[in-house]
Amino acid sequence: MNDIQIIEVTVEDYRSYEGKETFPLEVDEDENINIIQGQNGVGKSNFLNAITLCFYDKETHLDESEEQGLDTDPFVNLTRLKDLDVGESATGSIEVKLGRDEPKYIFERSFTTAKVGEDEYESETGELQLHQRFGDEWKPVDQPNTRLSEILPTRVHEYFFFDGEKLNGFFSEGYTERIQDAILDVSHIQLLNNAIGHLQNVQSDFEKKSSEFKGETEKKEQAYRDAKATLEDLQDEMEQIEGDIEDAEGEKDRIDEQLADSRDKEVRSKQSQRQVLNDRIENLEDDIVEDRMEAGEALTQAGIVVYNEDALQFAKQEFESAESEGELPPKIQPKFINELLERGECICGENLDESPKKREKLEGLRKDVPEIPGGTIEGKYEIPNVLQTAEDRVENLLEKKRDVEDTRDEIRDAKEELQEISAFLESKEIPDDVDVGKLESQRQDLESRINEMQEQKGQLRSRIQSQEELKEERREEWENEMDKEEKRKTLLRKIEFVRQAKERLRDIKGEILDQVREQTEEYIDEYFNTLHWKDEHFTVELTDEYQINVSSPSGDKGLGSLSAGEQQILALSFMASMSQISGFSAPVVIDTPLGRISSDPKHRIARNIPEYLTGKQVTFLMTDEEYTQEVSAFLGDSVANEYKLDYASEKTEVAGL
Amino acid sequence: MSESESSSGYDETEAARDIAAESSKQNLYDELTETEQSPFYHVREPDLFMMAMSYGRQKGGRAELQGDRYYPTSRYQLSEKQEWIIKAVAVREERTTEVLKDERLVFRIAQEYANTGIEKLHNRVFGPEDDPMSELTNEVVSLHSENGE
Repeated sequence: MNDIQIIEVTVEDYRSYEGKETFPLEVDEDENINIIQGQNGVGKSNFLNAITLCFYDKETHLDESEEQGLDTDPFVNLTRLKDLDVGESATGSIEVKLGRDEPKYIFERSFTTAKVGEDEYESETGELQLHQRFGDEWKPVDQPNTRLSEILPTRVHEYFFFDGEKLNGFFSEGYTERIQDAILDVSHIQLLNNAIGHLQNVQSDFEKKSSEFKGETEKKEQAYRDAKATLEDLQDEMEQIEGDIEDAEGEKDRIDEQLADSRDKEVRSKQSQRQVLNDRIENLEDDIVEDRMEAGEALTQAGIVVYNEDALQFAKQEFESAESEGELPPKIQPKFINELLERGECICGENLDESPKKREKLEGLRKDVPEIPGGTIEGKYEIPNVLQTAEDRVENLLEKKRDVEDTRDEIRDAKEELQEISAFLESKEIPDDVDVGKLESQRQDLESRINEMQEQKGQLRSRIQSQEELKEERREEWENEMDKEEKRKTLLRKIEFVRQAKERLRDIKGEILDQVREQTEEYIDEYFNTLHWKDEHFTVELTDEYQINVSSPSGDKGLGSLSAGEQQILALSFMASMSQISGFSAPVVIDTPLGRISSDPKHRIARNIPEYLTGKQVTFLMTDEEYTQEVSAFLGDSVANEYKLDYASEKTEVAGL
Repeated sequence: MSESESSSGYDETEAARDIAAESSKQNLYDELTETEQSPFYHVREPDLFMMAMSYGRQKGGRAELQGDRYYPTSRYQLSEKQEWIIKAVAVREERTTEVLKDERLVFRIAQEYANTGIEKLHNRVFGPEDDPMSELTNEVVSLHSENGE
C-alpha cells in the first residue's frame, strides 16, 4: 500500500471488550476493504472510539442516547470491575499498529478505572506511548503526539474516522458553515493564520508607539483606536449572534426529528409535508430572485424607449419633414452614384454623355451626400424601428411582472400551508406520545426568535460595514497627521509595511481557500458520480458561499429534493474529498456507512463502493441490515478481512468470517 | 465661421469614446446594480445609463457635470438602437436634426440628463415606496398607454 494503514488493533478490557481482542486489518491494493459486522449495541462504535481514544484521548463517536451517560461509564469492562472492592482499580489498554506493508508504529494508551463506591467508578487515561521501528529495531519515541500529528493530526481525524449514520443531518440548516470549517481544517493555513495574528500584534505595538507623539496626532490615534475597538465589539457581537442562531437552528432540528418520529401517523405526515413545503419555499425564493432580475431587465428595456417616446416621435417627424422638403435624399450610397457616373449610364438606361442634365443631377446628388450629418439617413429608418419595439417591450415587461407576482403568490400560499400545519400540530394531543402541541409551540418560539436574530444580524452587518468605513477614515486622518512630521514618517512606514504584509497574507489565504474549494468541488463530483447508481452524469457545484448544487441532464436537484441515498453518498463524497485534500495518507474507518438507506439504493451503492477511495485502506463497521448477502456479494472481491461481533454475557465476542 | 462649422451653427465634432458621469455618483450606479432589492440588480451599466438618462428627461431635467469624472460605459457598449434614442433626445432638445453633426453635444445632452436621472432613480428605488419595481412598471405601462392616445 502507498498509504499508511492500520495493520492491527488490540483492545484489552475496554468497555464491552473483555480480555484481549485483536483485529488484524492489513489489506493490499486489490483487497482494500475490511468489514466489521454486528447488530446495534454489540460494540462497533466502541471499536471506532477505541482508535480515537488511543490516538487523541477522546471518544468522538457517541450515540446521542449515550451522550449524557458515556462519560460517567467506566472505561474498563464491567465484568472485570465486578470483582473489585471499593478503593481498588483495574487497567486496560488499546494498541494500534500502523504501517504500509508492515508495522512501523505502535501507538498505545492505557486507562484505569477505580471503584470509588458501590456502582461508582472514576476513569482516567494514561499518556500516549509510541514505539517506532528503525531498521530491525523498535525504539520508544519521546514525543508521540508530534509523530501522530505528522500521520493524522487531531483537527482532520474526523474526516478519516466518522459515523456514516450521523452524516444524515450533514446537509441540514447551517451546512455551508460546516463545509467552510472543514475546508479551513484541511487547508493547512494555520501557519498563515499565525502569521496574520503576529502581524496584527506587531501593527498594534507600532500604533501604540505612535501614541507617544502628543498633540493632534495623539487625538487622531485615539480616535482611530476607538473606532477599531468599536468595530471589534461589533464583530464579537456578530459572532455571538451567529452562534445563537446556530444553536436555535439545532434545537429546531431536534424538535423536527422528534415530530418526525412521532407514533401518530398524521403528525408524521404533517411533518413530512412541512419539509416538502420548506424545500419548495427555498426553491421558489431562488426563483423569485431570477424572476425579479428578468423583470428588472424588461423594465430597463421598456423604460428607455417609453420615457423617450415623445422625443422619438418628434425626431421621426423631423426626418420625414426634412425628406419631404428635399433636404434629405433617399438612402443612396455615394459608391453607387460614382459607379453610375463612371459607367456613363443612368439607372434608367440612358447614356449620360447624351443627357448632360441627368449627369448634372447625379453629380449634384453625389455632392449632397457627404453634407448629410453622420448617420442621419439611417435615422430616418432606425427611429421608426425603435418606436415599433415599444409595444413588445411593454408586453414583455408585463409578462415578467406577472411571473414575479405568480411566484410571490406561490410562496404566500406555501407559507399559509405551513401556518396551517403548525396550527394543527399545536392543537394536537396524543396520549402516550411526545407532547406534540408543546413541541410545536416551542418550535414556533424558536422560529420567531431565529427571525428576530436574523434581523438583528442584518442590522449588525450594516453597522459593521459603516464602522469599517469609519475606521479606515480615522486611520487615514491619523496617518495624514503622522505624515506631517518627518520623525514620525519612519514609524508610519513601518506600520504601513506591516499592514500591507498582513493584507497580502489575507489575500494569499483567500486564494488558497478558493483553490481548495475548487479542488473539493472536483473530488465531490468524482466521488458522487462513482457512488451513484444511475448511469447519467451529475454535476456537483460548490459555490463561493460553500453551497452545494447538484444537477443532472434532467435538471437541477436542490439538496432538499435529493433522496436519502443521494444525500448519504453526497456526504460520503464530501468526507472522502476532505480526507484526500488534507494530504494525509491515513486509513479510513466509517461506522454505519449505509445507515438509514433503504435496501434497493443500498445494494446499488454497495456495487460502486469498491471504486470509492481506491488504494486506501477502508474499514466499514456495518449492521446486519447494511451488510446483507447482496451487499456482501457486491463487495466480495475487495474485502480483505471480515469480523462478526456478538454481544453475550455483557461482553463483545469477535469471530472471523 | 471655422472650417468645421456648418451654416446651421453646429460644429462637426466626434463624440468621445467614453460616456461620463460625476464620480461622486458612482456609488449610485453601484448600489442600483449590486443591491438585490433594487429593480436594476445585475442590469448592465450601459443599460442603466440609458435608463438614468430617460428617467432624467421625465423627472429631472439637465444638469451640467461637476467635479471629477467616472465613466459608467462607452459608446461602443451601446446598441445601435440605444444610440438612436440618444440622438432622438438631442433632436428633441435642439428642435433640429442638424444637431446630429455635433456628436459631442449630442452625448453631452445625454450625460446631463443621466446626471439628474441617476439621482432621482436612486431616490425612487431606495425611497419610501414599498415596491419600486411594481411602481416603476405601472408608470412605464401607463405612460406608454398615454403616448399612444
